[in-house]
Amino acid sequence: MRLFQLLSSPDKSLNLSLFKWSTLLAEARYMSMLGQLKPLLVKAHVWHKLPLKVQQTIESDFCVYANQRRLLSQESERLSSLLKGLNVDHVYLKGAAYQLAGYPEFDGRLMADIDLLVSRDSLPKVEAELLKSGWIFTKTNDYDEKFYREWSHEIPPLRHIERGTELDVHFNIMPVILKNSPSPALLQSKITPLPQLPSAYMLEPSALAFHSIIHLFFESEYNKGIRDLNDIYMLTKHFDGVDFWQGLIALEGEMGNGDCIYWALYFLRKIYSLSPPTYVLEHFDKCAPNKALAAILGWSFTQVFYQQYPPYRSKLHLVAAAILYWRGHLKRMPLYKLIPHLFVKGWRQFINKEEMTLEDVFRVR
Amino acid sequence: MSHKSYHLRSGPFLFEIDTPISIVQEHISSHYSHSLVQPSSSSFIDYHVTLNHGPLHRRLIFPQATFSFNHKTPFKPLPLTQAHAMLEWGMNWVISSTANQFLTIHAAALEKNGKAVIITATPGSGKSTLCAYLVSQGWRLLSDELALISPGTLEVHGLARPMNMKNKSIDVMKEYFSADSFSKVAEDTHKGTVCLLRPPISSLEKVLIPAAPALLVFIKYQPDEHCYVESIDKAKALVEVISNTFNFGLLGHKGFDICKRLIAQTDSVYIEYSDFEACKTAIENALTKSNQ
Repeated sequence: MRLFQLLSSPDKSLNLSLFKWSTLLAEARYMSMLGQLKPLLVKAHVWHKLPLKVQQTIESDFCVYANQRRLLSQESERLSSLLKGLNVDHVYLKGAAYQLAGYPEFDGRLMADIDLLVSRDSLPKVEAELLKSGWIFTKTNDYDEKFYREWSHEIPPLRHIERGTELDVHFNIMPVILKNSPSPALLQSKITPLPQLPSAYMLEPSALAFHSIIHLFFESEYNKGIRDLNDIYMLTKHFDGVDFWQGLIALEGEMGNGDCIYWALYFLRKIYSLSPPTYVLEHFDKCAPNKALAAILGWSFTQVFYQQYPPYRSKLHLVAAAILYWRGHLKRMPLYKLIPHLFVKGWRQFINKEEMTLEDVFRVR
Repeated sequence: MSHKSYHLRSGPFLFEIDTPISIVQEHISSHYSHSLVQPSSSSFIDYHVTLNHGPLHRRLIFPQATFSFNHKTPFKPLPLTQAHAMLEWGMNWVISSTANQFLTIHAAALEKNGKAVIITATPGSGKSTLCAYLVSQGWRLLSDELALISPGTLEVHGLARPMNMKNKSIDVMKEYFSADSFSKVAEDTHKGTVCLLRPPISSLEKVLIPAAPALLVFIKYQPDEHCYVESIDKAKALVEVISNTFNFGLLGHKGFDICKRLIAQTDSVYIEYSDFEACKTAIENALTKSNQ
């Protein structure tokens, strides 16, 4: 059994041998999804019938989540009081938003960092205040500065000097360098306040799913593709209803990128047998790319969603990864900027690998 | 050399190790021969680990070894001659960063007369050396680096893996262990010169039997001190254990609760020593006292 099969039919995992479980859990660990399996298996009424070893392995990762969830509560309260003092409304995006909203489907889902959206006007004072409160930039050279601020949609990543939390401050939904980059104001108006956190917001249901979808299908690397696709599935299950689907159609009208929604629906139907209303499917079928492109992309996405775990990769996996790599970059950057950018990026990776040494890690904090 | 795959049982964990590196293959054959198992459909492989050669251009000049866990490479490569030490450190890292079903303390753990002794120290204070000495005197090795505490029973689970000897302690231990117990020496590592010492079969055979903790020892090697013993009050011992626990913060309230119960159940002593025999007697005395 593969991870995508477990995610769509958790009840079929009951008769797996311990050996098969260990392979399945290794794939889930690779995708950072181990802890997420607990609520899935509990809901499918199989959790309590699983072998102890399987429960322990999942539970152990769930502890990491529980700790992250605690830290997020503390961090969001601090950010809220800091930004309320500046009178800045801020919108939580992606993982942090799902957690703060308390959607039960997202229990166990790990976050790499906290993503926060503020308006571009408020950015200077937000940055100044964060730097005063112990947040530091982790990438500090001139090229990164230029890349993030002038071409992308966020400022360079921040890390808290004591707590080690990572924070990405966004000022747009999509890279600003794109000619057709939609105005951030469009999504910024589709927000709903988060309870108990002054001046903190998250996106409304349709906008939340829309943002998650364009992010996944603008990616150039799909190491956690199935995790992100699963997020979108859980959002559609959580919100399923006329308002949600019509909201998604309306957003596509305002902000374009219907092809991303087409692909999301295509794979949600294929993997999870999701059945959205016919008018939704008819609407987004019109956004499909031409047949030849659809065939190539469909094949490439299938490779990364089904077979991303290294032991499962086919000989052609590299081809699919390369197609999506170039597609993702070209979607986010015009070619004349992209070529020099990839060159700089490649060169810097070559001379400066960002990995830990053994001394750094085997140390009690 | 061709790729070889090993299934290695270390206490509660089953590792799958893939490597084409001959120094690692030799190390596994010489130091883990009693821990190797044949996997079946009922084996649960906890961790998949690979030790590989570094990039091609580094094969010829300053050859390197890389460590990966579950197909991801978390560390910078090390010189090829340190590959077997890298395996040991990497395995420690894998356990300490993922096994939250236990409270994981950075400590040596041994069993004597059914009771577990947990020994912590600041790095370079002779924890592993003392541990190896006690093993040579018939104590059972649980682990020289990680004490795994079961949250419910507080029992200490053993790993019974080779002990990490550093610098001078390598020569000191030659008196107590047979020559074939010592691995190839890895020079110029971040810990200096390192050698891995195979535990006796008696420790390996009982690796799956956990032991109830009775005594915590905070140790310091002090060349001009024969043996000084001081009993430690529970509050101080608690702070000491917490600061040596990898996943204390991660486990939240549960972590605090486990540490608190562990301290309530055990006695604690601080020992400065330069004489092995005297130190062993001091620990034995403290163990006897804790039983009363």
